[in-house]
Amino acid sequence: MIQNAWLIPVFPLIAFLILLFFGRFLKEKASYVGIAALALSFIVSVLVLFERIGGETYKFVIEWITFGESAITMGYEVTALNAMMLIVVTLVSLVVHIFSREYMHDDNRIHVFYSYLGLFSFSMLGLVLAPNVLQLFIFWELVGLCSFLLVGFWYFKPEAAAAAKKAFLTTRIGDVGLLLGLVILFNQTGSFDYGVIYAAVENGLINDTLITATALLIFLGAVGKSAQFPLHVWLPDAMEGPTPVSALIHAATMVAAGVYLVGVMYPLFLASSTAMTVVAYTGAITAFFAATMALVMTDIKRVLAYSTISQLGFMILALGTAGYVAGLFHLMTHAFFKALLFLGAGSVIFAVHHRQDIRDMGGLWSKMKITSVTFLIGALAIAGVFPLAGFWSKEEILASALLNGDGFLFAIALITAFMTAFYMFRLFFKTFTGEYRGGDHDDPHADDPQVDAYGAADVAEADNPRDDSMDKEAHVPPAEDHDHHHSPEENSGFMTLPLIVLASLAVVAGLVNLPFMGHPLEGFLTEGLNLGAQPHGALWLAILSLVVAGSGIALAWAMYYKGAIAEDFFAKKAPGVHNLLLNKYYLDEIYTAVFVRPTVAIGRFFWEMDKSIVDGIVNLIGRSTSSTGRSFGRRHNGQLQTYGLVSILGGIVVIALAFVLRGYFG
Amino acid sequence: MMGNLLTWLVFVPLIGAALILTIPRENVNVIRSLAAIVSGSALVLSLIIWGGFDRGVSGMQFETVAPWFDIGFLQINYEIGIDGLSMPLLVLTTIVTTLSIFASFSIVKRVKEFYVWTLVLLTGMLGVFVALDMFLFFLFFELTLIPMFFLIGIWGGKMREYASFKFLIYTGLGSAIMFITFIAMFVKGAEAMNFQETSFSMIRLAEIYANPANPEVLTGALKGGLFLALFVAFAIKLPVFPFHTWLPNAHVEAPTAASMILAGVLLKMGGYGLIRVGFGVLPDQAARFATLIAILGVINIIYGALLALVQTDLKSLVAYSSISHMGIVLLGVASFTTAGMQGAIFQLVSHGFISALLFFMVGAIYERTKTRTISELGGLSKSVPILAGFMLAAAMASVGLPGLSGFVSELLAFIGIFGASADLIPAAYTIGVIGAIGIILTAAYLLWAMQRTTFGPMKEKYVGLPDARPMEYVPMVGLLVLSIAIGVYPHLLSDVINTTVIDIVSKIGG
Amino acid sequence: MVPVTFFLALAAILFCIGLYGVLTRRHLVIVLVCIELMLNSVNINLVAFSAIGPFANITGQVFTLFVITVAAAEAAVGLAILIALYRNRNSIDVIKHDLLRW
Repeated sequence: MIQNAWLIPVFPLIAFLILLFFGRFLKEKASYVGIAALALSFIVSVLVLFERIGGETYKFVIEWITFGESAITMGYEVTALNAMMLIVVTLVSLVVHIFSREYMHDDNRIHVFYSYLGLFSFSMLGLVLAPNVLQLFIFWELVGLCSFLLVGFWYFKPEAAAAAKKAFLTTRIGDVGLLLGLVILFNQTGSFDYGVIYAAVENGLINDTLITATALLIFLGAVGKSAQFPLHVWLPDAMEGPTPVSALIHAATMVAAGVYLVGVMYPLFLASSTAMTVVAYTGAITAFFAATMALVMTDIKRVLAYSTISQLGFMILALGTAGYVAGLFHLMTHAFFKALLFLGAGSVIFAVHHRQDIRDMGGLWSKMKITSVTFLIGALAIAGVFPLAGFWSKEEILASALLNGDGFLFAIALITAFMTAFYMFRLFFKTFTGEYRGGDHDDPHADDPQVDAYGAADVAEADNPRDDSMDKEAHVPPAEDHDHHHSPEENSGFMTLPLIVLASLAVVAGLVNLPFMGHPLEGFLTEGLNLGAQPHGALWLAILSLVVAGSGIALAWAMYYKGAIAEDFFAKKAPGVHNLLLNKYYLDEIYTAVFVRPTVAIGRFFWEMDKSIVDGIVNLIGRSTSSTGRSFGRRHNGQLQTYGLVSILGGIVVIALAFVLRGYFG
Repeated sequence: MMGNLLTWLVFVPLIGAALILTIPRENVNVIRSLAAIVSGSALVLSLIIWGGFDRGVSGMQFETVAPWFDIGFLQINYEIGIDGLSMPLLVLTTIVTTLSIFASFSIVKRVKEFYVWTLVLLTGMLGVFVALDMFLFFLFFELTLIPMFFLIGIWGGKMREYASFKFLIYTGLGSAIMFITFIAMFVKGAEAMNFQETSFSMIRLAEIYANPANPEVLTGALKGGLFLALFVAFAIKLPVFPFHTWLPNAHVEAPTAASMILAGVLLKMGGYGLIRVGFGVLPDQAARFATLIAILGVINIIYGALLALVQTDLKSLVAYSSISHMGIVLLGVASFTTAGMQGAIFQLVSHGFISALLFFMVGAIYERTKTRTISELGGLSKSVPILAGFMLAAAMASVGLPGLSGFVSELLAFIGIFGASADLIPAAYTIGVIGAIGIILTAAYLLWAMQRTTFGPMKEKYVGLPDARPMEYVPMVGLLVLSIAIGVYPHLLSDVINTTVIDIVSKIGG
Repeated sequence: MVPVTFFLALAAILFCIGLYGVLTRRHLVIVLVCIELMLNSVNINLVAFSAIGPFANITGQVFTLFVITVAAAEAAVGLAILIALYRNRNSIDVIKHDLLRW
């Protein structure tokens, strides 16, 4: 089966093509095509994983392009790392496909949605299977495209259109860095193949400066894709996309590709201590800042988005402190529990008629039992509570920060872990406990800084089959409010089944790397790679991390469930900080002022210059030529006799000159 | 017939144009289908040649040489042939022209003349790509000017007369410089052989300039001057900053089909000429000015992108994007590496398809909405989903998304410039990094434009616009499929180009 | 023997008179007459050289006959044009015919 690993991405590709050409006729049935394709992919992935665990490996390449004596090849390869990733991607993608069946039910472009999902799954799986880093880059860009399409799926909303553009452009900055890194690497090693690059680094064929430079450039790609500071600004906005998309692309798979990239290029990073430091600090800073913003957000999806950024920061931090397995382990567990949380959020949003503000929710515990319980499991997992998946992986990250990093990194990681527990349970308590607050008011917080989140409301209504209607209406909440008076209730099996699957994974996924079973995942992933010893924490570290998580949960409980501390206690204490966080550190505004506006201004300036000077000179030459001509033309009065006189005088002058100069006549 | 395939290919369109002249102007449909058939048969011929092209051979193939003029020492031959450089461009020309003929079926004004001029133009373009005699090359180069002048001047937009005259005079000036340089090269070449031998043949001249019997004639200053003059001549066509200002005017005013040909093929003649004559005959001088060319390339990339960013007219945005993309060609050739050279040729071909597609989409949307102003468009994904989808795909191809042809050329050009030897281009890394900023800008202006045109709420006035017509699928699908084919499996193209590229690069010792 | 210079001087004077007339007279018939005058001054030259020039031979006189023939034809065509012009424009004043203006 491992030779047929190429089938894994091909199934979703076929689904994409079918839906592209025939989706219109399938409409809702489109979902079954997508689900079937992903189910097949998942089955093949499982088989491949088992064979890989049995020790088999396979690589297949064909020549893609030749220039001079060099050739670039493309193909696919099964390694331990991507065998693991295949499972993660196909599984999450499969459950998201199933979930969307219900979630996107009302959208009359559901076939388009499924075709995009298929294309995304194909690209993501292609990225994972790539035998060389150029192929990885190609699929890397394709997943970016899919992200663009899916974030902008409701393109008629200006926010979604802007968010899609922002997502693509911001990651593009990182991608250009990555491309440059690859190009330089290629010129040094003559190949994009992982093996050749590893060997070149190991044998010292590349000088240290270039190793650091390429590692940093490649890392820039990861920073963009994995939404690390300072390029993280696109991910929260990307929440304009449909929620299943957020779960699949912007939580579990695509954003993790940056981490995966650092993982596959790990020998290069290990060879440069500067690069490792940069990676570690970027991760730590991102983890911290994103967590602080997650503390104050009120849009359920944005809280999760910042949490994703923060968790990705954790993974990057782990990789930066030589915790290769820790980072990738967390990638896997995070994929499950974050997809779970997003789908849970999707389930909630669907039930409360496409509202996303947690201040409009509450009291859903009794109404949506399955969603609530699974969401709680996810929250516990991300907070790092024993014995859920997040506990094991986060503990390893803390260990690597402590053992290979410095005190600062470790402290930041601990604080962030505390904040994680706090904001997740703030979210949980606000959403599921207390009274349902979404009863009869439409837009209670319209003048809130997060007002754009409300633009997302009612999108499903907006796109129901009223094709000839004006989309302008889509942005105004519909007048008929009857939906909102229905109290929310549990969704159908299409939505709860994925939650249950992911919840059970969030419980058990940690088991694959249990310390007292000898870290089986570590053995699997590091086999044949020379990455040095993996850090492991002592028991006290595990207990410490549990205490930290527990106190975070306790504080959230005190504030948002028990009410022992007023909800706005901290906001009142430090309104400046609160405002700063609500406005996301004003980074969007700063970027606009520092990068966007000046670029456009320079463009305008050049355009004016182009019209007035560059083209002005051209037109000036043209105009002066024609005006000279015209002034001579005026001498031509049409009088035959004048012409004759002039030509005779001219003849005389010529003859006279010839005599004087003793030219041809002399 | 087989022996003279190239000659047939070049003159079939001319014969077709003559045939069309005999048809009464009222028989519009006959004229249209005949034009399609003629260019279609040129396309088939070029594909036959593509099939018969020997990938392993360096040097010219399908050669034909016949004496034409023989006046004393002035000997001009009808000498044609193709190698890996001209082969893809030949196919590009026939494909783009055929598809643009399909794209122009909606034209109703003076249909007969339109197709006559288009077919004459096709002969001119094909001739440029096969001519090996410099005099012949010049003749065909000029032959493309007149038809395009009329295509813009008669079927163009509001400012068509200004644009067509500017095009004619500006690029005509380039041709004049080129002609003078050709004559100078001819005379000096003859002098360098002590007038024992004279030749207008590019191949022979390259040998003469490499091994002159009388080396004192060909001083460095002379050769440098010749190269710079050639560079300016072709830079106008490509176009290179600051000789680019004719292009936005011409593109914006030209009818859709002419824009497609103009961007798709005519600009490529500049790049082709630069490589064929500039790099082919004077490789040492090309190497000498490599840094200059690379810097101009980067300026083109950034300058074109910045200007595209602030355009308010969708068509001029695409026009400025062409300027930006042609910078990649300069960057690639300047590197003097196999990768860079191949990247440049890839860019010529790929930009030919992509820009033709973009111009077609802009034209199709203009036809329906009657506006090209970006701010007046919007929500097209809703009103014309298929057109908007193709437009988005074209934009993505232009952005350089992998899987589409633009990416391959950018990748190769950057591999080239980063691998350029330090003797040739001292600050290659800096140049490369600045050039890479252009990639970000490209994404910025195209996505911003897409956001404002295809995305967003649908405007009331665009409700119920007709979506793509069956005849419009031909150019749209054709061009997109070709771009995807090259992007997914570039070996199709690199296979043909590679030997020639190795040849060109080896001329300056690797 | 009259020296050749005398003939040449006469021819030059006649030529100049003719030229002056062509360039200054406004009446087209006079202009035509002046052109005849210029042609005849050339004829004098030809005949003079043919008789007493350094390479005296008959060619010059033959050429003169040609010129006279051509001049006759020219006068006929010129007058015809002139009449046509008069019919069309009601004037044979040179100043009034400036169609050659750009």
